[in-house]
Amino acid sequence: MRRQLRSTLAVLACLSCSDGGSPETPAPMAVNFDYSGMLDHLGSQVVLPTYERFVGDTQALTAAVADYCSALGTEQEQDALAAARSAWTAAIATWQKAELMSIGPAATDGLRDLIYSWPIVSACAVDQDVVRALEAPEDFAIETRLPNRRGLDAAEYLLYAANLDSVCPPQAQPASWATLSDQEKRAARCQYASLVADDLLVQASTLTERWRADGGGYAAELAGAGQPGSQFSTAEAAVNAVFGALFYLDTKTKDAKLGRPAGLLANVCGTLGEPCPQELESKYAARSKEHIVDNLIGFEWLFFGTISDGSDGPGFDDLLRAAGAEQVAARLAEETSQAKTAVADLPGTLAEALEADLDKVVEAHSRVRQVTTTLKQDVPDLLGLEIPGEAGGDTD
Amino acid sequence: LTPSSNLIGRLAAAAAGLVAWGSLCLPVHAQADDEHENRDGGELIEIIDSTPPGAAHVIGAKELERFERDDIHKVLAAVPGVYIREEDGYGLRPNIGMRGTGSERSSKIALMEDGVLIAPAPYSAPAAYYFPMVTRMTAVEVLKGPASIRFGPNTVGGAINLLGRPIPRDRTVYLDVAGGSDFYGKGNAYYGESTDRFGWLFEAAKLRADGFKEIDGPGQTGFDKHDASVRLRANSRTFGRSYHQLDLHAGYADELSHETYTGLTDADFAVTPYRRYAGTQLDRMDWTHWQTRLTYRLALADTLNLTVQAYRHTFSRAWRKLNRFNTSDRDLRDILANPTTGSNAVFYSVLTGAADSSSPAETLLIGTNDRQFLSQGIQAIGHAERRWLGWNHSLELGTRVHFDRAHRFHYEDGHVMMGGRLQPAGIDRIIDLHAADSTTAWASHYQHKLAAGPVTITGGARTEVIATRHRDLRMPGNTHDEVYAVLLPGAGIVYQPFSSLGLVAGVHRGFAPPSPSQLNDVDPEFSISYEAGTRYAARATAIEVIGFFNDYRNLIGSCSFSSGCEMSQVDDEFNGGKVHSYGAEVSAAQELAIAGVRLPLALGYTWQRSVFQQSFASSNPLWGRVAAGDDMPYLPNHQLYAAASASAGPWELAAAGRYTSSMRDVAGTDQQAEDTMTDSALVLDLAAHYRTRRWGELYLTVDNVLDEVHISSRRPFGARPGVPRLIVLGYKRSL
Repeated sequence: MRRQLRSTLAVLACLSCSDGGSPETPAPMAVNFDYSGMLDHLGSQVVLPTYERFVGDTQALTAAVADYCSALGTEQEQDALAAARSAWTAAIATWQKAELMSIGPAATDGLRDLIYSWPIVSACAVDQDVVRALEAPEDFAIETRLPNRRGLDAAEYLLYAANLDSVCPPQAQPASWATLSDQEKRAARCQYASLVADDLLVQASTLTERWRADGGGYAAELAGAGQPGSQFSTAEAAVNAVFGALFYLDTKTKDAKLGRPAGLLANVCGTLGEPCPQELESKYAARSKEHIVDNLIGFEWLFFGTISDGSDGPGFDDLLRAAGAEQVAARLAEETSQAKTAVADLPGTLAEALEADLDKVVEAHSRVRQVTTTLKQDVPDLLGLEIPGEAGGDTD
Repeated sequence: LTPSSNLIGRLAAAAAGLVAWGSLCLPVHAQADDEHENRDGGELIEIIDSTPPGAAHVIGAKELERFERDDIHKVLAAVPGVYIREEDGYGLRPNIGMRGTGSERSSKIALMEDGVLIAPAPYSAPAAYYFPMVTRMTAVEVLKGPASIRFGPNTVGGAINLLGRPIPRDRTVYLDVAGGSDFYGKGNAYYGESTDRFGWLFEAAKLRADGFKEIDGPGQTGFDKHDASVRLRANSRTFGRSYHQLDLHAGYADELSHETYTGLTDADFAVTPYRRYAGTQLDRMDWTHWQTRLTYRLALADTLNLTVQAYRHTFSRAWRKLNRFNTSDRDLRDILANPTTGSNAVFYSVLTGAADSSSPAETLLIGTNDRQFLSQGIQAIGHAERRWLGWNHSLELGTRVHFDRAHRFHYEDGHVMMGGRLQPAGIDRIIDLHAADSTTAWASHYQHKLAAGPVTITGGARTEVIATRHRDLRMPGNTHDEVYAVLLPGAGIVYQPFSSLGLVAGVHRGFAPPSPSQLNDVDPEFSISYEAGTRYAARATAIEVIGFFNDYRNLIGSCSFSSGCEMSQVDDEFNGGKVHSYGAEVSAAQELAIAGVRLPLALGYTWQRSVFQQSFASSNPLWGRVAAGDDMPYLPNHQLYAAASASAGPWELAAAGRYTSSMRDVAGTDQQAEDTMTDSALVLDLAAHYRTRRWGELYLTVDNVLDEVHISSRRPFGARPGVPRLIVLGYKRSL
């Protein structure tokens, strides 16, 4: 109380003492560096090739699903299903790397959600559309359907769900589904999966086109940032757009894919400190762990400018070196590598690891967190970059 | 002799000064003589004295009755320097700002009724979720500049004082009933009279409307408000050297309004601006307010007055409204800004009822912010007047001991959309906040006015010693106490080289306290505020031009759900750093008389800007990423008000137009996209009255005659409309 009184008197005696308080001001981006060259490399050598690879993956998926539908009821059914699943696995593996590259059309045009809308997914909505497409195929146009009824997440459910019953609650059950035989249900789901795969190919192609020079030219927009004609008035704005995409690793990979299932963050189970498998990303294909590893690889590609064949180009690590912070670049490379190892070494699937060895999952989360902490605390100040609003705080 | 003529005599003298002043400064006051004749003044606490050291405005009973306005936003449109952000169209929860203070829930200005702070918890939670029913008010006083240091705690912008109905001298029975479009209804009745030693007034009012919006599915819109009050007075005999008066005012008010925070997408607004989405069908505000005030007045001789007031106000409210979807991945603001982009389309379909909820993320969380407020205290103000050394001295000394408390319990219940109806989702209730903030404040002020010849100099200071306590009731023992004090000096000068011309200048220190839960991270708001201008008044013409400049050392931004903040941010405050607010206020009035017809004309114009002087990133969504030079959001650069009326015999016709320029939705520069701005709006109101002594008065008002459709706000979610054309026919009679 005496201290409070003293402080009160001090305030009375020194009015200006109360006038403090100014908001934090970020440092401007002022490193002497070839930003245009980095943006050109990241756009045309990292992002666009990833998208192009994904187009190839979806072409393969389209064919594999069609084969599976043809093989239904035959001896080749299981092999065809395995091939379709394999094609889906290849496609999702590429896309999980592309998740870290949600720059431009993928985000602003909503193409990312049309390809993979996780965590906004709904198996029930897919069930409903399977029936809708079955009952009125001539009226059904998948391109008009909502994102949670399309994309890689819908394909996962259709190709992997073992239970043929609808997951919808009783009041939302598609009325005619229960009247179908198991074989009819498989056929209906497969036909819908075929529509989904075809749609994926369309969306993947559209996305790629928007980046190509002969299409939307977004890669050129990035490389030409600050020049007349570019939508980016400054190179700083373009670099920040790319930098912002990297924070998928923070909000999605670290928090949503690891933190919530591990019970480290508030989750649908409402039980902190205990595993929450309902929060797992890949509920049917059980590839949640692999998705996280692919996210980390995608992060490496975009941050370090790594091309998929392992060769290197100008990236944020080079920008850090130009800013005299080589040790931060090296630390981030080491931390990313350790995070990948920690996740990949989890025993079995992520669901199995949650049950068998929660501590290891927590450790993996911690490793990923080291990466995102460096990304948030060191890099912006050194390079004068902006942290996206949703990643501004630490939800841990 | 009337009961309180001794006091009334003195109040009348003050009123005469006010009239003289009013005729100088306040065009809407061209009729002030008549109004003050009608004011008994018995239990009213006016805050504007003669020659205040800054800008002051009074909107009197005649002006209030001319357009029969129930919305304080429309009432204050006539006052330069005051700006508003519309929300529900009826002004149920006003957002009033003054001179660039920020308008969010009127939390930056000192709001008073009969001289007593009226916000639910003026220090701990100043957001004005309660606002007195304008229907029962007889005048509105607005005080800006150095004179505002007499009130507080907020002194940057100024003070607004609402004057309730005085106890009539003669036995009076009054009835006012009205009905209009959207099933608008108003009823206001009172009975009162005075004797030599006593006086009483009983008043009741009801206001309702079905609302002008239509919900996609089931659910109600509109509101229903009630207000009942009693005023009792006992006074000494009016002869002799001293006069004593004791007033008791007790009042009850409630509101049940089916309003929402959720607006529309721009595309939907263009087609059906008065639509409401199915996801808002459970939204409603339910509050009750009790107030008790006991006032003692002492008048000694003709030179000393003392007023002591004890007050206790309680306010309980439960505001249930759509908060968000059950995912951290999307918020309603993003969804409505880009309803067809990616997965936003999923949520938009559920919000509108076009699709059923099909996953946990598509569960709608309906949040209830349940709060209990207490505000109580005792204040004393003494006035003395003396002539000494050739100067007229007018002294005012005031002190107030105040306590207020805000108890907050915020929770969310999950609902799913099924066939256009919201049904309980069966998930556990989410508790967002359970906390209590309280403040004990001791405030004192001294003002000394010197007048000699053409010069009037006013100087004074205010001190506030503030002790706060924040308790997180979910974590027992998590308590945070703070004590701090501030000194707020101010001074002004009025120079009248001619009786018709006055030059004014003033400077004072502005202050706004942070809430008790924020004192770790947020600094008090301080500014040095300057104003200067001139007044001209001659016969039937009055003109005032005032310029102001507020130099903020630190501007506080506060987060409410209505400004688009997330549940976790509600009641958070933010440092905005250095800000410059500046502008010019012009008001003019002319009263013409042509062939026996009185034609009073009034004009008010405000030009203003508030500009951030620092670059920073704020998690306050109203600010976002701010660059030095960015304009503050929700501050119209231009406001224009013009009114004219004509009266002859039993007829009076009046017209008023108000123009508000578009406002930016977030901090930024002039190059903002259209979808981040509100619309500029020109709204025209008409009124007609037919008065007879024998049969009473019939009136017709038409608000928004041109049925102007405009986006008045984009907070917290989506485009929200101003009120459409409202036609009201009413009858009132006094017996």
